[in-house]
Amino acid sequence: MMQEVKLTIGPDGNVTVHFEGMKADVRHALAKELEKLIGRATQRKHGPGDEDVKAGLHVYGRS
Amino acid sequence: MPCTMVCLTPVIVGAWPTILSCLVGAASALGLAVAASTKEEEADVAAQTNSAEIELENSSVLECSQAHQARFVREGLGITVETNERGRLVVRVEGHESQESLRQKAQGFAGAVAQHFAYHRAITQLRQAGFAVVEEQMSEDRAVHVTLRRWE
Repeated sequence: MMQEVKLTIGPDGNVTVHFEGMKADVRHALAKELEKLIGRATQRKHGPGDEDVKAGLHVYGRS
Repeated sequence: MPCTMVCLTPVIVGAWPTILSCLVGAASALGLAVAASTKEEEADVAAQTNSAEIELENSSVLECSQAHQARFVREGLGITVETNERGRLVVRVEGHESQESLRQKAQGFAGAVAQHFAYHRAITQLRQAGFAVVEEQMSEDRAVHVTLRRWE
């Protein structure tokens, strides 16, 4: 199964990341790693299945 | 297909060599060269009339027991980046333009540094996770768009 990550890195350094084709726990693990390495998350939009990983949300999110 | 989006604001954290690499990359992208400490360059600096300075609040140079500095130049423009006592980066731009114009250039340079930092951190991490870059382009507003893919 194809999995894609689309990054848009603005001229001010702000990063928008779209995850496609992967399960919620995988998306959250990747998002958590990126947040740890790059900086704080300022906005999130969650897709279907995210309710299954509320614990993960708590780990990687501060919202 | 499920899709999640997350927006990240970079916090530039790293040891000076890592930061310096981002500074050089940003300077290069903006047509600036690393300044050689020559008499001509010093004379050019002395001839500048205005300057503007900003502190990058979202920055932290690790193990910053000593002050670090890097300087970049382009015709009529000098940019100095140094660490302050709090270990943060300070960008100072000198030139013949108005202070407001120089301040905007300082912010533009700071943005380019953050962009390089975020790009390298993200790409390195995603490659380690098995993704490969399949498409990359820069739009007119200097935003970088990268698509990475893997098969599971």
